[in-house]
Amino acid sequence: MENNYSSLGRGVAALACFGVSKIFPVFDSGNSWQVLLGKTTYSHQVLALHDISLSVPKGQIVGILGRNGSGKSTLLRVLAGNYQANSGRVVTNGSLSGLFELGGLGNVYLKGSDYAIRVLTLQGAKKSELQTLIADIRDFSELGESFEQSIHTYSSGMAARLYFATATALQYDIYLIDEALSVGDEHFQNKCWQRMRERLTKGASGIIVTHDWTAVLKLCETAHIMNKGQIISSGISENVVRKYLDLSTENFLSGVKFDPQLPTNWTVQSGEDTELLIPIDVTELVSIDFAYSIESLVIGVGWEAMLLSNYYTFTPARLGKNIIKLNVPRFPLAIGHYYFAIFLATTPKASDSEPRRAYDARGWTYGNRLDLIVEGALAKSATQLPMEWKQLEAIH
Amino acid sequence: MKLSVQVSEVSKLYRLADTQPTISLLQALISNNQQPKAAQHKVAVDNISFSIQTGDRLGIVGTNGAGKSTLLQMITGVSEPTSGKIEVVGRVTAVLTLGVGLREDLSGRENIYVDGEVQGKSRAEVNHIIDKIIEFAELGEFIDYPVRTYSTGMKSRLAFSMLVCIEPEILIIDEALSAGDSVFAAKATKKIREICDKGKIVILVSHSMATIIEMCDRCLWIDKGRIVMDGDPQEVTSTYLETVRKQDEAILLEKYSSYVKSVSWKQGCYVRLVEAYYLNESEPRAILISGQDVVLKFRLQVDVVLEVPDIRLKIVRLDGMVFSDCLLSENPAIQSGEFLGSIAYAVYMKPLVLGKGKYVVTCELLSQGLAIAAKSTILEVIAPLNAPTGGQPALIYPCKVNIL
Repeated sequence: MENNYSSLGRGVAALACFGVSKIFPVFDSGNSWQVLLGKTTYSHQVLALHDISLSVPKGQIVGILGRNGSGKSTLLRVLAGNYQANSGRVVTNGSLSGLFELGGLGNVYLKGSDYAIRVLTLQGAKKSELQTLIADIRDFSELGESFEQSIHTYSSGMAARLYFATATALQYDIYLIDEALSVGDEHFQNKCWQRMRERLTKGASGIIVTHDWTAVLKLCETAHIMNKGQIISSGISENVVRKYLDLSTENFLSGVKFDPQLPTNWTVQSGEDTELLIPIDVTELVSIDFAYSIESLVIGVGWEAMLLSNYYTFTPARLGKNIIKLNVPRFPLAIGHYYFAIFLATTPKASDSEPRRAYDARGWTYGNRLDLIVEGALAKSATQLPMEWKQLEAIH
Repeated sequence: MKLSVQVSEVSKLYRLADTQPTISLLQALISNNQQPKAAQHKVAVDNISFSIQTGDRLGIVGTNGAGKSTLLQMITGVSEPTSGKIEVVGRVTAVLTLGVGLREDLSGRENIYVDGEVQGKSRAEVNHIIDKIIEFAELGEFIDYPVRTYSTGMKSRLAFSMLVCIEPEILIIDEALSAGDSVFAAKATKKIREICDKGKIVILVSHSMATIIEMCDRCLWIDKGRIVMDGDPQEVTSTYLETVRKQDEAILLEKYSSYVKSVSWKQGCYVRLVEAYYLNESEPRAILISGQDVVLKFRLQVDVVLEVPDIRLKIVRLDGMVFSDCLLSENPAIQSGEFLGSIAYAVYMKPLVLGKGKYVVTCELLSQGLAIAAKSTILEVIAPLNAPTGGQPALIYPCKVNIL
């Protein structure tokens, strides 16, 4: 837990919790009367959260990764004050807005506009601002006339748009986000990202709970992994995502390996025909699948796989040292720092339903990343596309 | 046993509710209109016939509301055809909506027994497979807790595991492969493939053409309740895609109409057209497949003499990432002719390397470096069938790999 407390030291935390545990009793069916009469006889308890401590520094979004049922949604509700923790302490430093399933209110028979008014009123919006805020929510959610209809007539995407627009209409100090950025179509997702970035630059902080690790790389500098109600890993997002992906290097097959002398730093020229030579050691003459990727990663700002290949299949001609030659015509990426990743795997037979098994891999997700520096002239765009201009006969 | 599903001349009509509001009981009683009004019907399935045998893996494609789900419901026996006959030899297991059959107050384990009974298994038979189901569902100790304590993902994992482990003879799947997280989804896909390989009948409805091509050996395309095409999945899906493309393009342009605009800041200067074509085709497209040879065409109208005229092409993805920002004058090979009257340029992209996404393509007319007219349009790029499977790259870029 060292990480959590040390990050508290850096400036003021917007949100922190210490030793938070949450227990849900599980009642047998038919016991409702006993519960009402105060005779709580439950057969067992679920420890949903166990001794969770974390802090969110001001101006940052902290990511929490975990599979279904790991307790991450429960944690968010405890932090928001929707659930009472059985032990431990939650400290919030500023106004807070939560983006949960069902929008936190759970009443689907409200009209969209009434829902927005209710949430804003609960959050303490002034009467004088209400009109403008409602107009903003109506506009941002793109619901049109449906805004005046009951939420239960909405599709899940429409509802999610309403919830997001409402929860982010006011500038809060702290946002708690539960998978919300993965709703709607591309156009709406972009709007969500933009708004979150805007709020962040104005000094907001928050927690995003998700199993989409790319969202964590894009928004968060630090992250945690939850499993069975506990935080099992914490640190800078890149390392945490690597642990979450859990691509261990232990189960690699023998037979083909990257040469130990494989360079870890590569330099290429933007726009030039490029040849990358990758030495491999072959101890068994087997059919090999090779793939590579070039990723652009700036933690907390953006992650994108720029180039990604399918598997190329070939059989080495001889034992010992072979060289894989990767030709990239007119290297299409702008100058900058990229992560390069390469993989060697078995070739699955057509009839085989067994997945590919790895021989060897190099990349940040495996903890042995390769850096690729692209040099050249400053460019106006992130990529250079193959293009050829021609003048056409004008048609009058 | 030989399994089969025989669908002969099956139709299904739904009666629509009267659009007239019910008057009042009194009016209804005193009304002497004995004849009920001719009821309006919606034909959900219209005279469909086909048959499948042991080992067939049938895919069904079609737009929303085409009648796919109604057809599946009738094969499962959930609803009856209005006319025609459906004969099924074999036990049908359907994944229509995940988690619907779960009893909230029973534990996961008890639910498996109840479901086993529904499927006609004895307790001993269920005992035989229950460990396999529990292991597949990965619920841990939760298996003995009531289902109401489960998260949504856990419920769908349990429901899916119950179905596939019961060794279905005829498995019907309606878009349910995305249950749970990605780890579980991969496991689910593999399991379904195993069932296919055991020679049972599988009927799969999906909006993912890749899934259909990969898993099925025959494909039906249903539209407005009728079979439009029946045959090889590759052929059917590509014809289907071509037909829905036109509808999709119209929807795309409508939905993103705010990006399709034309402006002019100087009288007599206009960008008239910005269009994308496949090479050697004459019909402009709004949706293009990456990897194809593509040409962008611009037409401009310049009625005044401009100082230092130029043309800029910008391609920006909807999230703001700039993929291209280049000038005509950066191409020294082109002798830009007279910049007067109607002029047209083409930009060849051989091939189009943009990855999946939506892009705004803008053509600007410049004078001394300043834009004086512009036109933009929206372009959607979709990934080819052989796109990399490990993720969605920004560029689908053709590289060469050799071994020395």
